[in-house]
Amino acid sequence: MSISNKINNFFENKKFKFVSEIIILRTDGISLYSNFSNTEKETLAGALTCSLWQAAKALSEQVLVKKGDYRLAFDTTTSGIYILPIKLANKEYYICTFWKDQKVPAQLKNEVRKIKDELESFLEGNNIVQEENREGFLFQNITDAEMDDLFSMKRV
Amino acid sequence: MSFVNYHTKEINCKIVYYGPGLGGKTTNIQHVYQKTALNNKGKMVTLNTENERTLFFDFLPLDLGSIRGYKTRFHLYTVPGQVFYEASRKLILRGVDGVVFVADSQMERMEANIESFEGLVKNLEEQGYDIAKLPLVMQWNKRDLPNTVSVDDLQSKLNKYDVPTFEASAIEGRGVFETLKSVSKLVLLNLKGGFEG
Repeated sequence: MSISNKINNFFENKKFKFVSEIIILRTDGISLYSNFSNTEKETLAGALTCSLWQAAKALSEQVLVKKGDYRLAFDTTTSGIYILPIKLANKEYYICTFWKDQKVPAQLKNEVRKIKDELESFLEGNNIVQEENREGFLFQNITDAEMDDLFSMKRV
Repeated sequence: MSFVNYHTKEINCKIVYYGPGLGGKTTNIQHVYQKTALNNKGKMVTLNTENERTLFFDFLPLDLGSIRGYKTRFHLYTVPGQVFYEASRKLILRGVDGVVFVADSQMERMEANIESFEGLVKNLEEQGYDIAKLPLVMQWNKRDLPNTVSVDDLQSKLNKYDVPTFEASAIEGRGVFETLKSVSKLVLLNLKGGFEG
């Protein structure tokens, strides 16, 4: 089973009553799970969250030099963004939450850390198929007609 | 790195437009954005400086149709072209599935093209990629301008890996979709397959 399916199973089984928006991302910004109702917002959040994390990480490596268990918060007293790295099946991913109008954001951050720990435990020892370990190619050949068809989306 | 969800039959790929400053990378994806219907595209994000130069990246999610039952989505990124933003370029190349190198055809930009291409090779190597194995296409942009070098010249100086090339004028929209279609095909052919365990 793929990692995205496993993560979805985890959230379905746990039935979290998580009050804010949450997303789990690959390091390239592709979402593996989110509770967003809007796909466009999910895609944007993915691209920007990962870029934000990677820029902060690169900056910390240059300026602070020391490596550590970093987390990234961009918040006011009531709204914000919180990103944590998460290790799943020996690969790094990010778990990120977005909240607004929260009276106790610290509690929310704590919940995210708990989800991170539980998800890491849940996936530990699972037989996850990583993309790079797959054999062969998905498509042996693609015709020009198939590409024309793929790009036949409505043009303005 | 691409992501194929075999369960939901979805493909996600990352394509990066790379090249020298003011070469037309942003113009390429702006054209794609403008000419794509609303239901096939997401919001385009641009992280610019005050004078509208790319500061970090431009991003455009593009939903294409299906191929053999797989719904495809391409994430298009541009890098900032200015020499100063080397660190940002490295970050944006992480997880790349295919590259469009947008060369500026103007005579006076040849040095900048060469320097940028060398930077691309070096940055990819640092990320563990072998450029010879990565889907790559070259776009000779700004062919509408009067002071352009010949295509043969661009070919001999820049196309070291003998990859597909396209003449373009991104500002007029010429060659933009042809370039994107070509790199997309290479990316799709490069996707790992096999059975889900």
